[in-house]
Order: sequence, then structure tokens, then C-alpha cells
Amino acid sequence: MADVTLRKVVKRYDDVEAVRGIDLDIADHEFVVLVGPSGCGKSTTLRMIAGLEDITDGDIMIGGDVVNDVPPKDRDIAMVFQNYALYPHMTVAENMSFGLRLKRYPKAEIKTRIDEAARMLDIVELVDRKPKQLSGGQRQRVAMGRAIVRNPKVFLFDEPLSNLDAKLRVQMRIEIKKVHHKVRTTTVYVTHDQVEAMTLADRVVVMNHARDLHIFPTSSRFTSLSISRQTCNST
Amino acid sequence: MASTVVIDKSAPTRTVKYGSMSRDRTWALRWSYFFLTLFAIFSLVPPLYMVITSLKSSAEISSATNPWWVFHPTLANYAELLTSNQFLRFFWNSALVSIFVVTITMLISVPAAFALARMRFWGSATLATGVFLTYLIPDTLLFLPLFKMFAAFGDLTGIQLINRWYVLLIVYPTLTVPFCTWIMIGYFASIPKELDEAAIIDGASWFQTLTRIFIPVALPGLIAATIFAFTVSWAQFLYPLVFTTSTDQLVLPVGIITTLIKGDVFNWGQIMTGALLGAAPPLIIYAFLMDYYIAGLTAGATKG
Repeated sequence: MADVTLRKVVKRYDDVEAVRGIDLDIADHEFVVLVGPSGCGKSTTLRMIAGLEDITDGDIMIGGDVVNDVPPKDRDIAMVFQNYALYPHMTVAENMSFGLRLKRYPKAEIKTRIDEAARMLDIVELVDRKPKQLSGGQRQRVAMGRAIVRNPKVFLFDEPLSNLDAKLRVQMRIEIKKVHHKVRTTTVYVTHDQVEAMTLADRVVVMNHARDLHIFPTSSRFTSLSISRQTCNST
Repeated sequence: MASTVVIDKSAPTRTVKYGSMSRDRTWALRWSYFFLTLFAIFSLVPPLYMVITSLKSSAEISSATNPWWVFHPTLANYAELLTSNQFLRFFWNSALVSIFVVTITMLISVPAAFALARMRFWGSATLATGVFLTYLIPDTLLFLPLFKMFAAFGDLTGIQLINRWYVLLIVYPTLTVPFCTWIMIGYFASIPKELDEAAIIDGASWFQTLTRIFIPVALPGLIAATIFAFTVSWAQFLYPLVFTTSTDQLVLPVGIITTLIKGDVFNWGQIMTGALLGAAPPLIIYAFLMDYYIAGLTAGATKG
């Protein structure tokens, strides 16, 4: 577990500035949701934390260490993608254990972790199936399972529920919240769904989509809302 | 004022086609069957003629009987070829060359395609196009400069490559590598980006991402490329004709032509038998790998 800090993080693609100097402190165990319209840079921010995008300027710190030049695999993070990104040729168990197998964990340890995660996500009977034999909701659970077994410092979710139908989305929201209550891993969650943001987050970070970014000083692009746990649970 | 409804009986009427959809479909099916039959006849008649001729004796072939019928079927041509050391040598050379060429091609083109499709680096897009452009240069244009190069190489180093079967291992990949790389670039590009990102986050290196994720997922593409490389190297005619001359170095297509045509005497029965036997390995490979070839392994990788 670790806190995540962004200091004046900038992302520039040629002439386009996708992210303009973000400052953000995410405390240990916290569940922070980045919410905002398409193209506001929330996914880019998440991908920069993951290390999938280089940062143009500024610093990203995980657990107090600057990780700007640290490759994704050494950042000790796990990411859940919108389209699940499961390995199609592997079973659920193999999907979940892939990262652990690469790190040469002992077999018994891998099995324990898979069993634990599968129980937590209610996918025990699915572990021998291939992704194509699963429904959308089940696939997303597996994707979460893959993140959980790694026991990382930070969970990163990139619009994980966008491909699910409305009913399932509500259900999965509860699941995600439950998982977070259990594992208490620092979580950064990106969505454009405000209800999702309000129900899940300890803290919501609204990223404004500025048409002309020059008008806004860096700090005013962010509005931080603190939502108490009670509000969160009652919605 | 009372309004009256005037029905204009002279208005243009529309002819209603009941079941027009199914009628269209029926016609589409009829046409497709017509052309499929035409195509089947067109492509199956030559092999059929080869089979018929291979079962005839030389005397029957040269006699003025119905060429489409075998009056005295014989397996003499098959027996003769399959017991001829020379023919078996051609077969062996062809197999050796093809297996090596397929291996070399895959070892080069799969990592190359992965790099060009996934590891974005400066000039990767131009390089990908360049690889394909090299495929467009025909072998008829390349064999002379290649021959000169190997001759010069032999003069300089004393290593003789011309008239050795293994020279083909250097020459054939100039045809197979660009095309296979191109096929694999297409397959790799169709794999969702999140899949390699997930692998990278899981701690896989580029090499592990290639071997443990991309190759299994792109297996149908890999098999397609393998079949292509095999077919090209098995059936290649011009290069072996130019680069190899001694009978112990020849591959099957050239071997059949050079040894079974003596001056103006064509041993048609054996030529046809040799060609049929030569066509068998690709056919067998196609038959076995067709299921893999068609299977889509990416199902279930992402949404949908």
C-alpha cells in the first residue's frame, strides 16, 4: 500500500497539451475517482501513473519514490481496463496468475492467492474457463481478480464498468466498493459517470475540460470534493 | 362544402413482390453455385488430367486413344519414381530447404512484425511499408544481381555458395520474409493494445509479451504465414533453376524438369507423377492446418 502524489504533471503530444500541470495527493488506502468529460485528460493521467505514458514534465511519486522513469512492471501497480484485456488463450486461473508466474512465485502461494481472490469475487467455479466462455460481468471480475492477486501498492481502474449494462454496473459498483473495503489498497478510478464517481469515491476529483486551457491557471482546473462516507453509502 | 374523396385510379401502381428477399437470395445462391462450379472445374481439371496421365504407360500416352480415359492403368510410374534415388534426393532437398526456410522466415518475420506493429520507434511506419515494398520486386528481376553477388562473394572469400542447396536458404527468405512480416504486422495490429499493456503491467518483458501473449493469440496468422512460406519455398522454380545445377543439389520442381525431360523426349507419365507427388506435401499441410487457420483465437479477449 502506498500514497500517490502528482506534482505539476504535464503531458504534451506534439503541440497538444493533454494534461496541464496537475497537482494531486492521494492518501494511502484512499479511493479517489477522477471524473470528467471525454478528452479532459483523466485517462492520460491514469496511464501516466501506470507508466504506460511518459510524462512530459513534473513528478509522479508512489509511496514517496519518484517513479517518472520506472517501467510499469517495477511500479507495483495493477490496472483494470475498460475492455478487460484478458489473455484469450489462458484460463481464468492462468490469467490471474500470469503476473505471479512471471515473478516466479511458488506454486502453493499462487494457488492460495487465486483461491482467495476467486472467493472474494465469487468466481470460484469459473477458474478453469477461458474468457470467451464468460459473460461481460464475469470477465470484469476476472480482470479485477488479476489485479487483486498481485497485491499491488495501487489499483488503477480505467472506466472498468463502461461496457456493462446499467443493472450490472450498479451491482459491480457495489462489488468494487466491497473489495476495496476488504483489501484497502490505494485506488485511482477513472470514469465519466458522475453517479459512479459519487457512489464509489472517498474523494472525487473533477477534471474540467477547458476549451482554451490557457485561461485557467493550473490549480483552478481542479475542484476537489470531499464526500463523507455516509453520503457515499446512502446513494 | 362537402368534401369528396377522389381515388385517382390512374396513379402509378407499384408491383408488390412477395418474398422478394428470398427470391434475391435464391438468385444469389444460383449465381454463386454457377461460378463456384465453373471455378472448381477450372482448377480441378489439370490435376485430374495429371492423375490420369500418371496412371498410363508411355506407350498408351503416345498412342492416339482418348486422353481422358485410362485403358491399361499401371502404377509403374509411381514405383519407378519412388524407388529412384535421384527423385528421393530431390524430395529430400526440397524438404530440407523448405523446413529451414520456414524456420528462418518465422524467426525473422515474427519478431520484426512485433517490433514494427507494437514497439513504436522512429521510422517504424516507414520501415513497415518499406518491408512490403521489397516484396513487390519480382524474383525475375533479382536473380541476376543475386547471382553476381554470390559469385563475387565466392571470389572474395573462397566460400562457394552457387550450386549448393543451402544457397537457397539465403535466397528464398528474400521472398518469404517481407510477405510474412507484412501478414504478421496485420495480425499483431489487430490485437487490442490493452492486451500488451496488461502484460507489461503484469511484469512481462517485450520478449515475454511476444512469446507468451502475442504468438498464442495470433496463432491463426502465424499458421497462415507458415503455410505461405512453405508453399513459396516448396514451389519456387526460378531461383533453384539458376543457383543449382548438379543433380544432387536440385530441389523437386527443377529436378523433375531437368532429369525427366531428355532433349526433346518428354517422359510425360513420370513428369505428371513427380508433379503430383510434389504437390502432395502442401496439400496435406493445408488439410491439417485448415482448422487452425480459420479459428479465431482472439474471441473473448476484450468486450463483445
